[in-house]
Amino acid sequence: MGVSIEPDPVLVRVENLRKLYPLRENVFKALFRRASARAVHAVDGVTFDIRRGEVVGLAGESGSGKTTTGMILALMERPTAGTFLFEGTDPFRLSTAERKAFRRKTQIIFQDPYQTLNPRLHVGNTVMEPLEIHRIGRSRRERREKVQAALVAAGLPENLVDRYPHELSGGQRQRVAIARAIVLEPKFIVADEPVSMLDVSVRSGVMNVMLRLKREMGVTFLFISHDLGVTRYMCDRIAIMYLGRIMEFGTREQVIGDPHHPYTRILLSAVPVPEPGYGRKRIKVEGEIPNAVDLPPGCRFAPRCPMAGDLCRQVEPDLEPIGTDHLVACHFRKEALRPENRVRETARA
Amino acid sequence: MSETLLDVRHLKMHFRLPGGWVRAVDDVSFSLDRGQTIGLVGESGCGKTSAALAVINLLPENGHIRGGEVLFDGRNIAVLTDEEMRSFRWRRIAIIFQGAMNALNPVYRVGDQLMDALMLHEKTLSRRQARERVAGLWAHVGLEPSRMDHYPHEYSGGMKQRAMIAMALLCNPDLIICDEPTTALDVVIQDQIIEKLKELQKEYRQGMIIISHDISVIAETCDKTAVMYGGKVVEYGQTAEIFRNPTHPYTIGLLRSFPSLHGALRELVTIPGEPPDLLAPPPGCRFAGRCPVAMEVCRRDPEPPARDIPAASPPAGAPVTAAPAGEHQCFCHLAGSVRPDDIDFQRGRWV
Amino acid sequence: MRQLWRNFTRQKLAVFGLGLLVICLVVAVAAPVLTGYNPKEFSPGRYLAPGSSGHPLGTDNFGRDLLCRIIFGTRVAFLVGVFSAGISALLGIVIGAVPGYLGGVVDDLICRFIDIFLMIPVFFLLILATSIFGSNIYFVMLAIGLTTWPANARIMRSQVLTLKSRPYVKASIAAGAGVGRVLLRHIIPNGVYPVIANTALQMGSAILTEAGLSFLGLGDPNVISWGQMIQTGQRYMNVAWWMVVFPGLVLLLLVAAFNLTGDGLNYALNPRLQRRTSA
Repeated sequence: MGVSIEPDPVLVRVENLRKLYPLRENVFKALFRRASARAVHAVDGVTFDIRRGEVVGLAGESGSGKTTTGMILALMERPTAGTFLFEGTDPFRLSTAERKAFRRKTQIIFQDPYQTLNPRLHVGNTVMEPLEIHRIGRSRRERREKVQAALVAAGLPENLVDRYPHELSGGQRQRVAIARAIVLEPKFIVADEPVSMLDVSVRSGVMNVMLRLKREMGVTFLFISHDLGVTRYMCDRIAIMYLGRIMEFGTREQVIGDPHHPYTRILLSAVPVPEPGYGRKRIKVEGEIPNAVDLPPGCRFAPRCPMAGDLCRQVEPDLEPIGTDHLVACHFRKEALRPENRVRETARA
Repeated sequence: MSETLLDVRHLKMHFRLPGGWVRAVDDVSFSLDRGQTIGLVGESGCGKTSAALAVINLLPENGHIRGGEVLFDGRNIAVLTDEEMRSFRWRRIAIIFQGAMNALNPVYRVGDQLMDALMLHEKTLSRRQARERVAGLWAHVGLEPSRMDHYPHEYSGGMKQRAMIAMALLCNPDLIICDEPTTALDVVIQDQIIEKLKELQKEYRQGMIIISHDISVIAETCDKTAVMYGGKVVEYGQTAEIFRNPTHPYTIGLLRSFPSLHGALRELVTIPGEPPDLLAPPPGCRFAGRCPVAMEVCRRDPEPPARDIPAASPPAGAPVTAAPAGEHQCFCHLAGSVRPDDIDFQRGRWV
Repeated sequence: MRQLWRNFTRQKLAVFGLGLLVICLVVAVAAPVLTGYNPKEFSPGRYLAPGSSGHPLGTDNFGRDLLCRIIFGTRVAFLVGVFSAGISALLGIVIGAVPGYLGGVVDDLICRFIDIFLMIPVFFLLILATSIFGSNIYFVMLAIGLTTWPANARIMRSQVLTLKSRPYVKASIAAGAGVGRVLLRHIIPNGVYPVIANTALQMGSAILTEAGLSFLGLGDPNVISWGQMIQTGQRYMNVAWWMVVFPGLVLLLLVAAFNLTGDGLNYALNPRLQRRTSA
């Protein structure tokens, strides 16, 4: 048997990732810095993988842990437990020098276009900084060419190089952030709600730029968003998160078209449709998202789930496959679609 | 039989800046009957919030109404003095501001804040009566009355928004203006708020103006829609008509740039360019600079004519709506002769 | 930048203060040109009253022209102000920024250190220092700088705490930037404005401190400082009041100028320089 020289199709492997933020109980305990029993379970056992060249979406509401997961994958936060492998290496085990070289492969795009650029630097300097840090390019001219190539790839005209952030619109600033992210030609980009703060007519432009980068440069994306329509448009595979765990993970067609987890179905049914008279049927759910501190035993969605049974309140379901590539964390995963077990749907008033 | 509650005619509201006048609202007209909801939709800077503020004359120091009328129940309220306007605000027209939930004073109990507001407007009420009124409203908006004695930080985002809706309903107004009622809320809560707004309208029969940049919220909640751009209304009419048969290139671009969960997955359209500078707007149509199919006349003539668009025949199998096809106006030289598939936004021209 | 200037110029008092500063600076630089006298040269006409021929402000007990000495005193004043406040600012920025950014134990320790320093009464410490180590003007400037930096450190630290979570800082870290680059290129340039405003105020107070030290006789006798002049003049108050009043007045003016400018800067910084338009 010959040795395969093809690179591993899986770029990122995450297994049982956990990130806890301890809460200080009271002054005395804080003085003695004893670890408190109570903590915010921001990420509580997350497992998934990302393949080369694809866009994986982390979708969910506030408190779902999607942003924290993204920050760990972008090396901005250290996990409390679990494994995170990028091309087979654990980046958190590297030395500082190795990690600096490693950072060429992973970049981030942030949510707020008005704070993502240093107001004292003009566009050219901002995009050039990564090149300077890694001493890429033998001359200033070579670096400037790379900067211009990056700006063009982000859909910006080259003459923007000398502008300052306050002279640019939100959409333009976000594109500059994209240019800064791709100038090092990274393999992987974590995009944290990159279009949420942009105007509606500007969002599609930025999204299309990212899709083009994926197609033409083969960049792999982790796309974090609370907007399911945006997630559907951008992502090949989608993970629905709730209170720090993944509830459902599958391809776009599977998660949006054939959801099995009650939370996914509730979420999808709550999204308004831009079609008057569509007659959307929302699935009613009680209560609001609790905080991720005092979690009850069993499935974390059980307190609000219309289908919850005794097993759900005792045992937390694992993310298990129900088909090719389609994983669901629910005890009723196989039975969810049997008519008698259907989640009760309420027609719109 | 519904009567016209609000009739805005050619409203002009500009801001005075050292460099000149910013024409934030420039000849905007729309009307609303009792029990109806109208949506003002457009990107930021289009004037939708300014128009709503102009309706109730809640303008900053440098804002002035420079033309037009606002007929509320037949009476022009644009010319009222501040004193006279005060009797209208809250009692007959209420407004829920964008991000209003953050306007709650953190050191006072939520219920107290509403009771104080109520007693300010109805001076004959005793504290006990005010409390009863507020408690009744609490139940109506879906909050537990016991929560009245909690502080704002004990409320979630969705609960605060419900409290804001209750505050708007305090004096049982005829018209409620909601500015981006669902932004900054989670998906499921957004849906509950939308549902609650519609429920309340059915019960109280107020008129509602919903301002949003989210066309899906407008599609589900509004009977009529005014699409705004650059301080002007570019398309106006029954929501179903506008969504089924958009005729203004901006509306078409807006609808086709929206990533929906339903329908076929197609490449989203991007409207190139930036919104116009309202301090020195271009000579012609405000949208001409970004319009892929703009003609010479578009760049010259600042007032594209209003063209009435006949109702589109409903798609086969769709229920026949009982409501009359009604008005559908498009402010464009090309109105009526443009179909969505005719425009190639990417290359900026006709397909 | 432009926005800052516009905010600043909106306040008449601040502009007045700045104008005054500029005038004084010009006077200080052009000192030898402005007056024909040698400020140190003794001359026969003692205690001449203001308005005497050739001496618009009179002379002192050694017959030296007062106006000339005041003009030369401006130089010392600026020297003291700029150096002392400069040292204070530099120390404050470094001691505030680095622990603020690194956080953890380092930050806790340095904070306590700053707090302790703040408890020390500066003026008494200076009196002690100059009596022990002598009163060379450069030493005085250094001493003032070494005792007034905590305020700047506090300001810088709080700015750093705010700025280090800004996305553009995180983006730089994500690109592989080290601590030095992040601090020098991103955090300090964006966070230093309040320190600059405070430095302007500190310049005024440094001048006042030096004047105070000189008045107590602890100043450098070899330089011409207004405090010195007041100290010399107080003995002759009954005979020649102008020896005290005029130096006192200019002292007041210059310190006020610094204060007004500093206040103006502070105000210009808040309203925040960003504005977002909405529909």
